[in-house]
Amino acid sequence: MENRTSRLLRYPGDMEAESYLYTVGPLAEQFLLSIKNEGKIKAAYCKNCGRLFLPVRSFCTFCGKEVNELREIDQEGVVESFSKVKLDSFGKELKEPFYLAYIKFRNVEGGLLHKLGEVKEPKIGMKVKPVFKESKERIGSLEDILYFRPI
Amino acid sequence: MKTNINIKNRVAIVGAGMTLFRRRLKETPQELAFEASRVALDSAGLDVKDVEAVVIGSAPDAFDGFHMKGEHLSDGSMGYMKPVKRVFVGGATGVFTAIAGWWHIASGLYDIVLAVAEEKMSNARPHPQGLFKYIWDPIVERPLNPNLIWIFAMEMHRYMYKYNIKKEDIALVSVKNKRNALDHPAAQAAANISVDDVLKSEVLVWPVQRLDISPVSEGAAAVVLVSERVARKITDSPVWIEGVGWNLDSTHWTSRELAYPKYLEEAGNMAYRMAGIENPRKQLDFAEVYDPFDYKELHHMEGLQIANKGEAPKLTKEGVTQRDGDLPICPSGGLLGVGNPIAAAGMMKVCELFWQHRYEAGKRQVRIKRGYGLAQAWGDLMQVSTVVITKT
Repeated sequence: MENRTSRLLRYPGDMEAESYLYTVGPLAEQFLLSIKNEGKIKAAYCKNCGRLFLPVRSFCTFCGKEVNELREIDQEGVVESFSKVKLDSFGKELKEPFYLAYIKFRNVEGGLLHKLGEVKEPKIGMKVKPVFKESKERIGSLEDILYFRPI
Repeated sequence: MKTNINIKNRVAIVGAGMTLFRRRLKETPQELAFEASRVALDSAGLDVKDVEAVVIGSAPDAFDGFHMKGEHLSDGSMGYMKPVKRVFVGGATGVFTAIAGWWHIASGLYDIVLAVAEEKMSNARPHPQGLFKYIWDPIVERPLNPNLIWIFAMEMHRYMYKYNIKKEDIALVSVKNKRNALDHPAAQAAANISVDDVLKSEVLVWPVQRLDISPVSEGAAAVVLVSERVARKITDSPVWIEGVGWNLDSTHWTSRELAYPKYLEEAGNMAYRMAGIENPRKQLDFAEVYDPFDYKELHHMEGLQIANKGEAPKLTKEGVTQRDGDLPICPSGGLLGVGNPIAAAGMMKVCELFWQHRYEAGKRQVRIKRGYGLAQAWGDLMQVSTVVITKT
């Protein structure tokens, strides 16, 4: 039987803004600038409840108070979980499969999503540290971190 | 006469807060929601641990540029590890967020609920008006590439034609609201302007001119809602929500009556019945009517039966709607004066109810004689209205 839908008229369309320029926020800006300028990952510090947390935002999710301070943290991270990515979001096979990981830091709530590099067989619980781009190439972005590599 | 409806808890507003309304703000959407939430909780003397549930209101995801915007905002809205729900009825969202907060408590489910509305309008490029392209029917409307201003120009024209209303009479609303906003500390578009300024401003889409319209804004606003049991413990001056109402016209713009918002009459009647209001013109002390355009304040006053059909301009001309008039409309300065961060703008009106009833509105203060205030918003596909009635 003939496919009836093929005979119906269609109307072409699209649906999104042309582009977005996202607001980073005052404290998250400091977070990105410390990656760019110091090659350091810092965490937000809530002086009300004493928690360090990532991602950086200028309020405390846990106790509901304003946060306006970043603190240095141990740059050594731990792989909380990882996976090996073989297909992109459109089902296309990647030329170079890679390891995606959720990385946590000592005494810090939350963590970061990033790639693993220089590793054959990653393990959950493995200790890793960030590998940054050359400082002159850094722009203040999470992509200033190339990947995390095993220690 | 009050309708006998089954409400487990009477609901009070016990705190309100908002951010500045501006074209661009340096904070993220979550941070804006947080600031309004924090101020609202502080004004109620409550903390995050006291909040049992959170209701979030925000207009299309495309504005902030995050899908699942309610979930995105939940951390900033004190929603961590709590029952959180987003509601969304376009421009009418701000008032509807308060309504949803109300039913969370009226149903008996919770005693303390935070209702937060936020909008970030500067992320989308080149201009957020472009995002409205996607509210039109893709087959019968979008080929003509309309935007909201084009459509409201036709509604305004029809309203003017049907009741023989002059542009200079409509402009009085913009003059009044922008002047009222001079006394609002968060206002973006407060100004001392004349009718002549409005009539000489740039024509955008005739008969809509630059000063007939509210600005593009971002910001957040929040209220704390509690049951009567909690209200009696924590405050001497609760502001009671006495009635809520909402209603939708046809999905199709071309199936609606343009000169009169019948759906708003229905929404108003729902709220009036609940509150026991038989004559809104005589019983309300003031109303925060939705005013994204100056003619919409008049249109909405008529739909709310505050004025007879075609007669809202007359009340405006006579000074009845001024802050010192018999029935002040938009004493806050409204969207025309304070600004229009979609959902947050409607919630700003609910905040104004709180401040006015408690005599905390400073120079904006109106006289509370009979006890009732009303806030209204309008939106979705331009066919929904939402109404909240409060009482001291």
